[in-house]
Amino acid sequence: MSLRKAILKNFDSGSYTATVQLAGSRKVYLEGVTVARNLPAAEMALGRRVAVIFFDEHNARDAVIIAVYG
Amino acid sequence: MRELSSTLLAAQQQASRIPYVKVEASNKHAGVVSLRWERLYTGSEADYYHALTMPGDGSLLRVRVTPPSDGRKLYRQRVASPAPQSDFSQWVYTSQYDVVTVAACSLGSEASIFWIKGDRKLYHLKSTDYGASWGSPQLLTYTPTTAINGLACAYKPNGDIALLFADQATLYVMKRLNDSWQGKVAWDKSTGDLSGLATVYDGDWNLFVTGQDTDDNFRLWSLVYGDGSDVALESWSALKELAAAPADGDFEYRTAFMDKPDVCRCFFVESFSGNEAYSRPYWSYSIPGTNFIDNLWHEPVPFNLSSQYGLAVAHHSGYCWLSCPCGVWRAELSPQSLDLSTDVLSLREELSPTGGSLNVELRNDDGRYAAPGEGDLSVLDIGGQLDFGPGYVTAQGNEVSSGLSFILSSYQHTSAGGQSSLVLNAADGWSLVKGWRARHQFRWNQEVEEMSVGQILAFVLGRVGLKLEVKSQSSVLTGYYPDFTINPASSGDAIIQRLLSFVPDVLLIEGNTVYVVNPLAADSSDYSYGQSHPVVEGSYRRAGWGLNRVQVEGYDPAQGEAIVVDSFSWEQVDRFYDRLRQVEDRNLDTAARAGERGEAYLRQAEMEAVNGAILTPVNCGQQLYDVVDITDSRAGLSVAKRRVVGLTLAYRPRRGEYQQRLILGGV
Repeated sequence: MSLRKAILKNFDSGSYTATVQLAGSRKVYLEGVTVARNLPAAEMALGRRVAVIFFDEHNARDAVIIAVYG
Repeated sequence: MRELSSTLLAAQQQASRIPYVKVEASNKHAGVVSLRWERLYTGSEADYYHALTMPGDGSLLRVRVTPPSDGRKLYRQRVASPAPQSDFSQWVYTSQYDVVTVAACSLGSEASIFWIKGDRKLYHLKSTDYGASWGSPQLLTYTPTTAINGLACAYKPNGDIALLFADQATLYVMKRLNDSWQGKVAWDKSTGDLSGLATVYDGDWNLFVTGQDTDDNFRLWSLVYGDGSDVALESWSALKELAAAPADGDFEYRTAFMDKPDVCRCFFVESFSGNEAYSRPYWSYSIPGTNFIDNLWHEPVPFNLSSQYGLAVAHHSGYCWLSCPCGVWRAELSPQSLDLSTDVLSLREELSPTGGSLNVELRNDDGRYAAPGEGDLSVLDIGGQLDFGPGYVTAQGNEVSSGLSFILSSYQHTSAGGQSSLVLNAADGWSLVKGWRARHQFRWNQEVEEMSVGQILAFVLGRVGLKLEVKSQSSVLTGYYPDFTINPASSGDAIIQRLLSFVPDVLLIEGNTVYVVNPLAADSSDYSYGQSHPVVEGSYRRAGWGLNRVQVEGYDPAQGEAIVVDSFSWEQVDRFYDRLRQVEDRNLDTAARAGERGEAYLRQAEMEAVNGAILTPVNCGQQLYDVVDITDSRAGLSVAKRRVVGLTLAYRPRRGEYQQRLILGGV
């Protein structure tokens, strides 16, 4: 399991998933990352920083955005 | 096992053996000549569109366009015998101006320059005497617009030419067949605007394309225009991505050049518009032994230059050349080697499933190795390659089994008691894998099956210059397409180990190739120890399995429920009750896949439960993961099969020592 910083690039309030730019990945974004349901949609403003937990470092299906800040 | 000649095989099994080891330094890196660029010219010409070609006499033909502020004039230059003392500053104005872009190519004595003007006219200028004199410009066609950001050309060995140009989002090809120009034909792709093109003929016309996709993301692609080799005549392959950057980001790719002096070597420009902005050429090369259409490239490496229009590349004879309007570079292209064998005082090679090393001590009592990397020792340098071959003196002379390569990582001079030596420390291809870090996010198979586990392995190994080859493989390796993510800064070895956790297969790095082996219990023995080939020492251990039950949890997205599959070794459960390992992977979407994963873990436990080691005279062809049979009656072994999972070879002639210790596992 790992915890990574990212910048929110897109948020889909319907599927509650997001596209994020992980720290260190300026050329490729990670799409379709699950967002924790306890995060209010109104707080998911593009450009904000988010914290992403990877339960499996090599499987983005097993990742979740757990915090939005900044 | 590496194949041995009958004489070498006989020599290594004789009671009295004369050892011989071959150690050679070379100017290669992972099997490809490492180009050490020397800048021969630094001028004041403005950075703008340019091209380079070298006809059959080895002359250097450069062309350049001046910037719009100077009328976009077309200049050409020919340096007959280019060398460090040549004058690369003299240009001839072609009386052509308002030139949008330019390209050049050559074959034997014929050279061609192509350019497109602001009035959409596409011209061809031809020389039949190596560029010494030129004919009159020939109007070939009109381009649809003047938004041409890529022009490339290449000869086929029979004299045909393919001329390609990118007009906004459309790539056109025009061919000259039997000296007759055909009409332009558009490709069959949909993209955004293109920004650069390069091509080389190698059975097909192999292309490098920079531009944007339909979502305006920036891309660097490889592409093949077929001539009947890997792609059917006049067909297009799929666009295959080499690099990418998002539309709303700060990165962009443009201006590609390519040549094939040994492998395909390409240059492109990466521009960063953030803080601190740059436009910098990057270079890469195709992995030796792979086809262009495989799209396996070394990780792009930055070149020490600031340029928006990149570096054109060409080669002739023993040199590779780079050019931009204000610069010329040259690098030795020929493989060079230095035989160190006669000076070896001692040597130790260690190979394991995740790394290998070679340490060589060379005599230096007369200071012959006082200055590695200089003069006659130029190829003996840090970062260079050391090739090692264990062998014996046979009826045929000195014979070795070659194929082992290492990268020289450090050296050390020692001087004591009137003796002096140079100790070389080198590491095998695993060190390249461990040193690689992901530059950004990668992800495959999110929506559709893009790359199997085996293909992802080949991609990652290609990034460090290693080729993946199959000795034997499981069906999982080729049939499993996990949603696999590589996060930025992930190390190559962590990625490889994770991929290997999906499959029963293992990897063996030898030389510059990574071999896939699927170790099966039914594998037959490759070599026998204890009969013709003596065992000096032996220890043989058998233990219970570390785990005998694997519970794998996957997820069925169609049903929206978990999949739980248990795999057992009932014989081991009877002995030790269950030793459980739980594995969770949401990529496992069928019970069959989950079962395969559990069986792979059990198989690993089975092999690890048997271990030991033997000390023997050197078997020159021994490889990791070979199955050997051992006869050692005192230990109750008679043609007992074991798998080699580690190898240490020691050569110390002063002590009369030339032995190998094999670390054994179960079959």
